[in-house]
Amino acid sequence: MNTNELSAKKFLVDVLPRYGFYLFFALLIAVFALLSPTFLTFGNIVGILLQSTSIGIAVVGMTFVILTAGIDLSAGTTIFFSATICGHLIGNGSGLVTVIPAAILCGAVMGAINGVAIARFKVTPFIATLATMTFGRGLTLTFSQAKAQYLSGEIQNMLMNSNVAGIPTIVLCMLLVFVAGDVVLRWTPFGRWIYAIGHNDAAAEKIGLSVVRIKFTAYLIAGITAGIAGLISSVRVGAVMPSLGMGQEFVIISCAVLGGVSLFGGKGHALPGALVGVLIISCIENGLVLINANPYLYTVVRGVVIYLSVMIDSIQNRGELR
Amino acid sequence: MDETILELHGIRKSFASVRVLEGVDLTLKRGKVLGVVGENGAGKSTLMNILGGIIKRDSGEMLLEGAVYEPKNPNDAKKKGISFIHQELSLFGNLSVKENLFIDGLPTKGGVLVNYPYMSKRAKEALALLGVRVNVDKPIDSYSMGIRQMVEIAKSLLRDTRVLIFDEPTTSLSQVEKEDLFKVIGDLTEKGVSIIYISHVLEDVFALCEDICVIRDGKVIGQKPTSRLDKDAVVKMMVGREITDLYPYIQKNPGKDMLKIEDLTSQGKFEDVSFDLRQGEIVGMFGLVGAGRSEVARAIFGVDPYDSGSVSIEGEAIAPTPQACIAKGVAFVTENRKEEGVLLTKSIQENLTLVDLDGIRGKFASINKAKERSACKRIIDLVKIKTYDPAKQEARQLSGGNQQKVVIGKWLMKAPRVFIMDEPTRGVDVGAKFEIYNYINDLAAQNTAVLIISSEMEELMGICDRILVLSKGRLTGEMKRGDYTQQAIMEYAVMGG
Repeated sequence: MNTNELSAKKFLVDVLPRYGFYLFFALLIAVFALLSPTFLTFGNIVGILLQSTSIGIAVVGMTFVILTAGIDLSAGTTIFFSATICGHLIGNGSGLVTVIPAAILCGAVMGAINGVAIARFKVTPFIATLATMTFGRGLTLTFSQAKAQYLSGEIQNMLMNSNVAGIPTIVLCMLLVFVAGDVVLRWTPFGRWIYAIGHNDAAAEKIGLSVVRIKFTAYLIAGITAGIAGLISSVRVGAVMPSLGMGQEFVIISCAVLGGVSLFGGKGHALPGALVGVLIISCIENGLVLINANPYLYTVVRGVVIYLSVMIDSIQNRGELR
Repeated sequence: MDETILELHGIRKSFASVRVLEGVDLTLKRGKVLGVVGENGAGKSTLMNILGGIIKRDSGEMLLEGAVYEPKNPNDAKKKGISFIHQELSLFGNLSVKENLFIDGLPTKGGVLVNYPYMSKRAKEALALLGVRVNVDKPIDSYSMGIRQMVEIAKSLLRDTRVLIFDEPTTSLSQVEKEDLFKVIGDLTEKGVSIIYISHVLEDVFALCEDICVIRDGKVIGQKPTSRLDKDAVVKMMVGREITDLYPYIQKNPGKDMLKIEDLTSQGKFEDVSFDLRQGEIVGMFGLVGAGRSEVARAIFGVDPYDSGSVSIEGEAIAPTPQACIAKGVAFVTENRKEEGVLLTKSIQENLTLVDLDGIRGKFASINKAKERSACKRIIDLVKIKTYDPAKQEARQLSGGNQQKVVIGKWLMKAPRVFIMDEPTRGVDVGAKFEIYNYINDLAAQNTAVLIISSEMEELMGICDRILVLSKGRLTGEMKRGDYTQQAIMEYAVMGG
């Protein structure tokens, strides 16, 4: 057989899907750096990281869910729900000590509702989270009367402007969440069970893993991270708009998939994969703004990137699924 | 040394109103191998699932080393020393060998983080005991079925296993892997582990087991020492009647050429395969694991692509797609029944009508329910599928033999002109096998050309008019009925390509 052909095929099927996206990331940075002198400045890099924080934290939770071969479409709604409640509390003069637990609680409630339906009552994740996505937003809009809510500066100051050695605390928080998620996934029994369930939940049941509890916990974690993401995005923007979080679930899912977390379950990592996925999406957004591209182009590019990453996911996993 | 380790008395179990076990008694001695045989649906799996703690019995008594044994769940059974190696292994392909070994009880440091170094050490020790040398950090997917089975056995040995249950352990193993497995089973019994061995392969059961227990219709027909039994006696006990000839053969007069394969080649799988099938002829294809038998069949039916060569029916070339083949009257039974043969969660009726939806069409492209029912009834009666309601019962609730009948039955809706069957009797009990051979004969009598791929040489010798032998992707031999000898076939099969 032709060895050239073989190695070309190996490159296309083996090497490219696995390392291709690091290559793509490097290429992306190089292109934007060439096109815009400000792209690689310290200020802009910090800006990209800041912009990544809320989505990034939610991606960690989404990674847990997708690894179980599930999906959480309600993440955007959870962000909105948590942001609205937090905005309300901030408006009433509450400090971080109240607001942070409130964000976690909001997320946990949404996650638990998803988890009960999916883990205990075996509802298809797509349908269960589509339902919570819809009624969650409706209920929240009823509560907020669909009015925009503007936040005062104090908490914004505390969260956004504190830093350690020039790196915003909030960025460090995101990285901490990534590290924590990765340690849980790689180094704890619970994490390994997530991978096992994602590969074959019938077999997991047979050997006596408590699939219900593990899946429930995955959705709970996804809810909590989305709740925290909600707090951060409201504070970062300084306002809670009625459209906040709309469509964000797809950005979150695509960051994870782009980072190599397989929609078929059981494959992929929070670090470095999912984090790089987040950074790629943020870089595209930031870079296109810097080069004054048509704002609609951003959606197009994002769509193409998602399309390609999902396709690569399918090609890579086809062999085993057959 | 004839100490009893496990005793079952009067085990009963019903599902809904169907009585599956009607008072089963069983005795297992320490360090011995007990063979459990019976037709599909006889109740073996249910019995073993009760032992393994997967389901609960309705009544009866179980004693493990004299104490009452009452498993609450699979983990509890394992803790009490009873491990179950299922036909479909409970391994996770995305996890490493060592993670698989410990997945149901990952050891931790300080109760939080997984202790990987300890796992590596124990995993290597456990596998070394079985004579297996693998890289325990690599994903289990990268190893053969034989190794995976050994990993599954090692997994049970990491606990203090006293009784090890095997359910059809050899179905996906090569000959060498099978011999390794039997050697390991021998070693285990010497260490005092007792084995329950369930299999349809009677040769293996006779070679391995000290005692054989035959189950039929939820009852134990007899448990006797192997030395006092022979194959015919066991078969008779299993089916409850005498099967005079295991392999029914009918005299046929093959007609004109039906299927012609010329120089079929798929790089790295098989090369220059040419043969033809005639109307009303049954042709067998033999080869060792990896010889490329299934690959050839899949290429003919257009499931997998081929690089060069041609496939033609009655002189007319057909495109390599399943649709084109079906349109020309070619039927195909795959070797992967569960993945590719049946839609497990669909009803029997839906499975049966799948390839001939046109035949049951009503007005405006709808499905005519009455036609569907009557068409299904015809097939169910023809192939004798045991079902309480074909429209309601899901295929996964059927035993392996009955599932296979569904797979074959769906192709009988429209009489096929060419029938390619890849391992049609794998994992099927003696009674159902006999029935399958009979429909194959009926099909041939109606002028269908049949190609059967099988790993069981005796089966091919019994029912085929001709046998083709593949070795390393090449056709190395062809024999007519009358010239068959096991030795000649094996010589062709090991011939260097």
